[in-house]
Amino acid sequence: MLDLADEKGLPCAKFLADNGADVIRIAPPGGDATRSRGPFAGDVPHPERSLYFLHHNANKRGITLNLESPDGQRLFRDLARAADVVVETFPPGWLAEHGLGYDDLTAINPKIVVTSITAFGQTGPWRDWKGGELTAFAVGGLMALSGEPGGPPCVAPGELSCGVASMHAALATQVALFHRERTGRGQHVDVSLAEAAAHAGSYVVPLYSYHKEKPHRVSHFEHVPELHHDLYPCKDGFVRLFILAREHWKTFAEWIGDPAVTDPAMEDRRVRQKEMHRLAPIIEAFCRRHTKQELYLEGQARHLAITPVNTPAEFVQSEQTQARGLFQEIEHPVVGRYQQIGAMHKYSAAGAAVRSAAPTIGQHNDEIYRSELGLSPEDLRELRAAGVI
Amino acid sequence: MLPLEGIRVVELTTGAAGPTVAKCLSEYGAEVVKIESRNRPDSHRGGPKEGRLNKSPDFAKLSRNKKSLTVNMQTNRGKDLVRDLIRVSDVVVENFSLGVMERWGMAYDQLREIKPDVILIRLKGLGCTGPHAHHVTYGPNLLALFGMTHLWNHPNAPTPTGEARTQHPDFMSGIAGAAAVMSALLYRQRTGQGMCIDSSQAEAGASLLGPYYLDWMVNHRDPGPSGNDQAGCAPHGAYPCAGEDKWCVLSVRTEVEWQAFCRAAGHPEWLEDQRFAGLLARREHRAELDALVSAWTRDWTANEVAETLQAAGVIAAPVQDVEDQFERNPQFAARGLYVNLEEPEMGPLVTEGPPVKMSETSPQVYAHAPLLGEHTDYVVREILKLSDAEIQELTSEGVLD
Repeated sequence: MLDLADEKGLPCAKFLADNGADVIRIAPPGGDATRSRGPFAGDVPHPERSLYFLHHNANKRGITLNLESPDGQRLFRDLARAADVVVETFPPGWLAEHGLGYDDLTAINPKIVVTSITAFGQTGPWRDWKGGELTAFAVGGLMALSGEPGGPPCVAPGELSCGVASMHAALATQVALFHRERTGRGQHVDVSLAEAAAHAGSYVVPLYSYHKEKPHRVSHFEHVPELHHDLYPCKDGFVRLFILAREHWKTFAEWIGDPAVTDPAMEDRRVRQKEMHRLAPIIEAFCRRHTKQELYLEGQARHLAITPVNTPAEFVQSEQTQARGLFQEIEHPVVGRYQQIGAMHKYSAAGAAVRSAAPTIGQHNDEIYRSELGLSPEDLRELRAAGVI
Repeated sequence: MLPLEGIRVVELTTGAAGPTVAKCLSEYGAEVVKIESRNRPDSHRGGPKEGRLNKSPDFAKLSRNKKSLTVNMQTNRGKDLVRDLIRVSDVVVENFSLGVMERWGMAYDQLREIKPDVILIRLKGLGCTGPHAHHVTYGPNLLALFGMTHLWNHPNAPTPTGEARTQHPDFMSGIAGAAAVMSALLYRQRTGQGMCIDSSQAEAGASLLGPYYLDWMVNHRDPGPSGNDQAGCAPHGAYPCAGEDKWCVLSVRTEVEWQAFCRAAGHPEWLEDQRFAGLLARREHRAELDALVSAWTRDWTANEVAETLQAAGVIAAPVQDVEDQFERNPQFAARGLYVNLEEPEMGPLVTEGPPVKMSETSPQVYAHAPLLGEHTDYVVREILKLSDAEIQELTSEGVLD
């Protein structure tokens, strides 16, 4: 698999690499633009120290190649001849302008699957609009519901639109491979980041179309909480309560023990919601007497959906994360040994795992251009001198 | 012909993540049989109360394209019937509480006895193993657990989170689960072997936050929220527009974009301002810059700002709510993102179609969400080939409920 993706498609290529695909990351000479994204190991900005790059490119091999030069385009076509999949995120039409569009590639390799992940898709009036996570998240509907009312909306961490688009892309790419086994033909997959973002949220679209009601931003600060969704302050942070079912409420109320909450009338969710201005302070006072870990573990022992609001470090260190071996150690020539998050799923038949750290710039140039494309050391010297690799 | 035609999926689920796995596979042509019981229909059906059942827009989104079979799983014959269905199927999707499948005698090893190359995907909030595997969690609980609630905020905000009310990571882990099932189908195509896939929704969501965890692992720093800010860009983020609580986003990275931005905004004088000469200066003075940009954007609608800036080659887009998406998003309309369903008891309804187009086999929405038990007769006659007498007996014994 040839990986030409930027932020928009990195989780797609990562998913397939984690599941064992031989992914070759292709960057311009000098390395990927995403190598400039922080945070950096030891806080030293350096292309081999970008933790963003290291996360997204584990389990891949890496080469450099200038796709804007005719020699680079020839080499890419040679690679594409033997490839199953190309994942790319260039603006629509860019690859075709460089002789590397789907039509060009399918002419030399009819079985190839080309997966394009772009800001707004390959067609439509906004297809040439520039953008990425920020624009996709903005039109996707979730951003309008984030942040405090009156203040600016807030983009989600972790490039959620890119993640959702990439999962759709990984699914569609594999469907295309499955189809290819039956028909012998590849195809072009067109994924829109903005449309994927519109999928990330909730049931807003069908609810609006049916009930003509739309949700508005709610304050996480000064309001009467809705019990089944809300954050409550405790001794050392916050917990999230998701208490909806009647039996969950009864268990929770008995745990709190205050007669105002154990009142049987409160078992009806609609009554309870009307009384929240009275109930919330009692619940809050109860939560404030405990740490978030106490509320979590004692709540879960009562089968209540209570969880702590964790920081990243608290998640990494949690008993469950550790027990499942979610983080796996690898070694990188510049950064040294460290642990990074492993594959998204555990498969009984074959363990997806972190097998190798992200490649350094051009790490596999020799291996791939010489051993796999059959270029001579002299060819490589010339290509380097000409700035092709 | 859709690419997964001939692949049959048995869905033993409730809620959102499990149904999303099968929904995605159905869009590529897999035949999905959703198993429910009249005593305990899917939690998204609207509840068992008369007048609400079959009238849930949530359910329409999650279960369009599927077939519904109602079976009483409390009966041995009901469980046998489901086993018979699994025998002639390819994939089983389940997301009940840990232990339910085991109680039914449908653990992976037991399913393999019926169907040696079965692919089973089990979606749990926290996975199938580990000391917290049995924890009760909903999507918003998981967001809190893996750090997203904490990180989804403006820096130094007075509130503990700025997150939107969302079902994330339910949908994303469902889509990723479908991708995992496709990996397993490709594996089966080559090796003839099935597998069991253990999916933790928390881990699926967490995988997008990898760089934050690495900051802890490598730098021993526990990162906090960074809001809309992004290094290497200024101005960047959300800016107020004309109208009540209306916003746009925009982002300027290069000098070429900065020049285009100032001209498009009608403020070429910003190019002469030393506070904004070069990215470093703009980053340093971004509070002043944001104030000037906001004063400009405030006079225009979000779509006007986006159209003006995009025409000049600058990244911008309107922040849209669902009404904006319907009324003011020519891109979604042109690409046919929204599909119209005709639900038997609800009437017309709009949901999001797949965000994917393919040159040969685009995913499709081809059927409404099934009424409870709508396809029971089809499944027992056409798939399980039961006789009239057998069907009558199963019905009178309350197995087909």
